[in-house]
Amino acid sequence: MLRLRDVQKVYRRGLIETTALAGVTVHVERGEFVAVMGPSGSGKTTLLNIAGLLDTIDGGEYLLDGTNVRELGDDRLAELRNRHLGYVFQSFNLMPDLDVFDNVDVPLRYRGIAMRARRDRVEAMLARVGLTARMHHLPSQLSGGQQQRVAIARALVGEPTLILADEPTGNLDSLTARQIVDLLADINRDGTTVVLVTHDQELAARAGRRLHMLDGGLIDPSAGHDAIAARPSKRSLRDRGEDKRS
Amino acid sequence: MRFYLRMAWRSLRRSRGLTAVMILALSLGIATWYAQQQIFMYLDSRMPVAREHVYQVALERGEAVPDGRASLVVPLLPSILLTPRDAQGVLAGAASHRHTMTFGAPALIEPEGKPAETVRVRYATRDLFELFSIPLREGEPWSAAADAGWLAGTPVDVAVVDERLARRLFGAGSALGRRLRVDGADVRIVGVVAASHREHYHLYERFVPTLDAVYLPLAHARAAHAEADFQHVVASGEAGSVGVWVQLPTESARLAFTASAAEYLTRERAAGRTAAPRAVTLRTARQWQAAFAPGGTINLWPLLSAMCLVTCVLNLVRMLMAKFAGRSHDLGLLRAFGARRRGVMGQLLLEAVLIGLCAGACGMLLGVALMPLATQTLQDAAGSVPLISARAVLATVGASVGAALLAALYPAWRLSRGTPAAQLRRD
Repeated sequence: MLRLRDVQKVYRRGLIETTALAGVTVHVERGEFVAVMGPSGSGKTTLLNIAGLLDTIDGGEYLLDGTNVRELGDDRLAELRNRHLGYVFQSFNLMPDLDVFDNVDVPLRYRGIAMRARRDRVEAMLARVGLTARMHHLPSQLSGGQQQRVAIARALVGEPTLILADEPTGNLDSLTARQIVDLLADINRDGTTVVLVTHDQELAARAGRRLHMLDGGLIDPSAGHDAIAARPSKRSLRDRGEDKRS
Repeated sequence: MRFYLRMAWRSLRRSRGLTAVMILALSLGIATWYAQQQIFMYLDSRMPVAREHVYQVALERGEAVPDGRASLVVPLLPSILLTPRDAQGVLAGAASHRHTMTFGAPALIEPEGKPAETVRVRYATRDLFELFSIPLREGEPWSAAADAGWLAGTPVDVAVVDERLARRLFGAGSALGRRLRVDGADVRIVGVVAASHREHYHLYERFVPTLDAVYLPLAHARAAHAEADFQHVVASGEAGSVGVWVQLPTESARLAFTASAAEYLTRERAAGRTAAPRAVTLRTARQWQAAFAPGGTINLWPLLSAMCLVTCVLNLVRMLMAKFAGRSHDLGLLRAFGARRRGVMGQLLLEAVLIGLCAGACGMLLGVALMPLATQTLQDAAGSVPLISARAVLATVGASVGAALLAALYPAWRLSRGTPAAQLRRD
């Protein structure tokens, strides 16, 4: 489903450039539950953003369901994000001005579905995450766990084929975190591919496969990708120029 | 659409202080623009639209060219004021068309049983009423015979007065047939100009801030001042000479009139009465207003209001940059869930439209408040400039929304340009 080959990502700010991904190659098959682990700054979120078409790549190749995403325009990328991908963020990222129903409804609005059909799907999804009674509450009126369940409902309501979850339990207590991971595992059992970024070894153990990242490179013993590509660096272009001259 | 509107509205409410400042900033520009628009609409409404093909005759320095205009036009105000001799000379070719010679001057009136006072008197020939659609509440203009008298120096004793003066002097009853002493001569009132009449002061000669209270045949000026040189009397008026207007309904009539006037000018030069070459120029009332708006003061208004509006729009650009930057995270989220880049831009522009609508309403209210200041430049027009009309509301709201959209284009484009990840990072 996901095929990233030698993917590179460099962030530039003025003369400073930071390599976030230094030639990462990873394949994720349909229906897999993959956990991506690694310390802060190792490139996990960047990898997830790229996989989720939220960010661009500077080098390498990314095929999503066989489509080379580098060749796609904004409209097509927006359509892929809307129809095939669902996101769950660490800080929930709910729209504070919209109530629970409207937050979950957002992806369906961009799909041009009629109001009645949207209402049925949103209500069904909220029932699945146990928040029917909170449908007209604002995010600020919910607990962290409830907010994350709303975020999961929003990610799932469009029936995506791939769920990308970035530290979805990072702001939750351990009991709620376990419930959220249980929910993600249920979703995966229904056939949806899940890629989960987490620090938590215990939660990662629930995934079918674990990928380890370090300094923008990937260590995946189970898949045989054990080589860490070139170490990422944070250095100035001027230094780089001097390197070239030397 | 309701969803987008609701999002835009909530976004504006979320940062109420900044929203209020943005609306106020644009309102100031719109208020100035609105006041200017109203004054121009007012001036426009005073144009003699009822009579077409009415031209003001000007003599300008320069050689005549085939189309009848001057080759070197020096658009000085006095060029529209002809000496009585020149006026008669050029009008010789317009005998079969409506035409008038007119000038305004102060005159002393001595109403019976009331103290004498100085009012503004307009001397003219009777076609003035027809050419400028001056409405008569009662009576009619003086006869053609009264006009003919001015050449012969025959005394005439008829006058038309403004309704406001008539009421003041004679009360609510009819003023027809009443007598009035003007500059030492007795005149009989044969017509009353309706109070609804708006002065064409900016058309006749130059900016004159007072109302024409009495209309008299030109012959009266000649007869009343028989002892003095008529030229001198005319020259003592504020205009310094007479304005000449003629109605030429067809292109051939216009050309024939121009040719006749040119012949007169040639004869005058040949006779040595004028040294410099002159050419006759015809301007419609609108062209005249465009070339010589009252006192030049009004010409400044569009420039000042445009500068004010541009400054406000530039300020709005800066504020919208800040406002939209605060929306970055939300917009990143919308894009993550399927919004297109242009959809995001549309969402931001919708916020600008709401700001424009609010600023349009506030600007119009401010403009109405500003109007008394603005109309001070029009003096007697103050108070009669329409404050609100459907056309003004539409134009103002349209201008406000347009200005807000213009201001929002760059900030919206810039913000929608990044990747969703970059937008989500900007929290």
